[in-house]
Amino acid sequence: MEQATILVVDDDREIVGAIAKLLELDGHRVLRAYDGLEALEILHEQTVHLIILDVMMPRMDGLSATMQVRREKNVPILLLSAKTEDADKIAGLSIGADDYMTKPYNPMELAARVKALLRRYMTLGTVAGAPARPGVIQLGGLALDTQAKILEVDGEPVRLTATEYRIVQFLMENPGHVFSASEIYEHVWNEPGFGVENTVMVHIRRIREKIEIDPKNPNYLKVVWGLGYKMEKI
Amino acid sequence: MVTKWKKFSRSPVLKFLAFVLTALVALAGLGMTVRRIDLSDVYTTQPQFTDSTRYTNLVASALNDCAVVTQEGRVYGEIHYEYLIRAGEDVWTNSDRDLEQIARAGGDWVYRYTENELIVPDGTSEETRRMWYGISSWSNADELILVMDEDYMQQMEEEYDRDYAFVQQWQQSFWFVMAAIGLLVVYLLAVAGRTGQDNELHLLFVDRWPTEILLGVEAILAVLLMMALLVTSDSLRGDQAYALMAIDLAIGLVGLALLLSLARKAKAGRLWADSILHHICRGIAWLCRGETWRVSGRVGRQAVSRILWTGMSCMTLCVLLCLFLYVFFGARLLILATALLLGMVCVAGMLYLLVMQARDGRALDALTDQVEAAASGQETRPTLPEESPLHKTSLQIARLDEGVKQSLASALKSERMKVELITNVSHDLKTPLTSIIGYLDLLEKQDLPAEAADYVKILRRKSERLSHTVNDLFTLSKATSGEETVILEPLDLVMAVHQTLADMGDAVEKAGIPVRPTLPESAWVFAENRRLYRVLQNILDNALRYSLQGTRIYLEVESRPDQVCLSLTNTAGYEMDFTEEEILQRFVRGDKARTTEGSGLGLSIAESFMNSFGGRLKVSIRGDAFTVTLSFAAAPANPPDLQEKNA
Repeated sequence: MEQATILVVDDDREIVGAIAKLLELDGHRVLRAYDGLEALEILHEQTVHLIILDVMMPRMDGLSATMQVRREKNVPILLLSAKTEDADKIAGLSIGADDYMTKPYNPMELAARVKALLRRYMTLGTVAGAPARPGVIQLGGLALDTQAKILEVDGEPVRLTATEYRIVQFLMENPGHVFSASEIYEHVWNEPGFGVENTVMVHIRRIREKIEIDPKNPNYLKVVWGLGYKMEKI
Repeated sequence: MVTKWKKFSRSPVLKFLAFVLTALVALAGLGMTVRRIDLSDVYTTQPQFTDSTRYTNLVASALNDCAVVTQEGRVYGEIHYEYLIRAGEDVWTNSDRDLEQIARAGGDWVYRYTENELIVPDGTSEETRRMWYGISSWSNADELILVMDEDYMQQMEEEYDRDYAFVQQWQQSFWFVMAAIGLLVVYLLAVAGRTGQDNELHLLFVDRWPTEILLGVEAILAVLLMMALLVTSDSLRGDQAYALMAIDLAIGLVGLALLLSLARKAKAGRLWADSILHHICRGIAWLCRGETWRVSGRVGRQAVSRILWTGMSCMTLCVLLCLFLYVFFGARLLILATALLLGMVCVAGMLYLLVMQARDGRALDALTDQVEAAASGQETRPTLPEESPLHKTSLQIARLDEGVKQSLASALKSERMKVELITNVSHDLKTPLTSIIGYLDLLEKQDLPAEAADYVKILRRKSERLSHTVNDLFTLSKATSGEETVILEPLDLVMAVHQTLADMGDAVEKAGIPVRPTLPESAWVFAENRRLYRVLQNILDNALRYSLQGTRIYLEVESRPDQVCLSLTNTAGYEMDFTEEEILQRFVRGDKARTTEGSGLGLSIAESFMNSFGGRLKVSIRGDAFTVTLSFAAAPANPPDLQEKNA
């Protein structure tokens, strides 16, 4: 992975320092800002490949800054917030952020998410700008090549078993739809599915471990408790 | 434009003018009619004087005179004709001229009757002819010659022509007057109660009178008017007729005013509401509903029956007294009257007591209403007037209610402040925690002596647990505040249990405590999907953490018609020295001594989530068996198809 320039914005200087150090250890160049306006100034002067942005800040908060940035640039934005509720997460993502993490963050997870965002941005272009390849189903950072039977996560191929591949393909062909375990079983195994909850769930868990950065907080493959499973429509 | 027209047409001046105009037109109509009544012998079908009833009457009256002449030899009063009557030898005449010769010559005003022939002027009406033929029946005259005075008849003819012309004119005017009055009345009815300023209906004082009174007066006036008109048209002439005419007009105008009042009432929809009958009906309904004695269920009804019994006893005594007096002293009028008076005083006293009781009952009712309103959390105001004996009580209740409301409000406020505090604290805790975790991670990456690296690891673990606790605390305070709205949907609890067991497979295996589920095929409940997972995860986590090694966890889902119950039973690995209530209190952990992972908020969070589903979480402890029971509201047995939901 080549060196990238990352802008870290938080009103708490120690947090900025810790994140900067963490990213510098991975070999990135880090710019620091302590509120939204300062971040916008730096963005005007320098080329930045990724922004890590706190939500609650003086002068200009993270959400306003995100909207400002999105008017001009499509550089990936990772929101970092002490707010843990779903509503805050949805609000952040809907105004143009690419990812959302809650404080206190897990440093390993942060590094992984930064890596994924950078790879997606630098090797594939932006999500919106990704060229449509024939026979490839694109879903956020997931790209399923149905001809080569290869699943790429943020540009990196992932090894799946045949069954796992068929489950992923079935769910990715119908993004946003909720399927019960027996529906998935009947489609993938071609057998009537009774009491297959465990079998399906075990496969789902394995797939999640392979494609999700934090399998406990999945971005793509989600369990709808009491109804079934779905691939999130991104 | 429309408004201007409205303003104009509804202006009081115009209305007044219309009313006056109606009076004037009616006056003119009546005046003409009174004159017409004078001319009752003029008919529009008789344009010629000689055809007219008046002329027939003239001739008839002359013939009548002649009959008088044959009886008494002369006629009284002024006459305008010459006659010659021959009956046998008797001859009567009042003329010097040779009437027989004039009769033979004929003429416009000459009549001659003999037994053989009748000579009348040309154009004599059939009615007059018939009168002449009838002479033989009442007169013994052999010959009768009547020569009307030419000058007089011409004068009469001219007068008749004038009268005829007037009658014709009246005929036409009559319809015009009726139409004019009709139009004016319609206009007045239309604008009654309206003003140009607004669209409201304005009622006058008289409009508040009961409908029956207005209708009754209107009916009486109508009868009076009818009678007055009949009398007017019947027999009166001249001054008397004009006097009656004025009465007619007055009655008519008062009637019109009342009609307008009724119209305003009708427009306001108050015809029925203002009627006496309505009030009576309402009173009867009120009595039937038994609201009179609502409160008096115990107090009032007893009092009423007591009053009635006392009154009746008094009256019976009076009757007995009467009988006694009658039997022993004979029926003296004075004594009987005294007894009767006493009886009436009894009845009056009873009625007075009843009315007072009803008044007190109403005051009690008002007080009960106030208490009821206070109990149901509504606004209460002291409703009783100061002179009521219950006024002070009412005030005290109001004060009491105010105190309760204030303390409720302050309790609500303090709960809200608590939630706010926890939210702020959790943010203030998270920021330093973020730094701590970040720098600990960096520290871990350094080349540290083995001992220091161990310390860092411990710090790292503890800081993560702290972070977990802060998050749980925040979740719990949010959930209990009830500030979040939860959208419930039908979910299959059995599927959720399967999914949770599969999801937590690793943890179950690691704990070495097998889970034995007993599940129906499906059980649909109302819940929210993430919270449901959190509930199942928390209770399973709790069971795994505190179970005795070598025991099992039993999980059972039972579907009932209106609710679904899930029970999870495990055997505690220690003695449970706490009560079922204590365990659900926040921060109370099963083992007070041991330090284990977890925030200790798991069951509390599960409980508040269950409450948000409209369900319940219950804990029961029997010996070493610890059971958590979840009860959900059951969702319809046939939940919408998944595909439908997706669409």
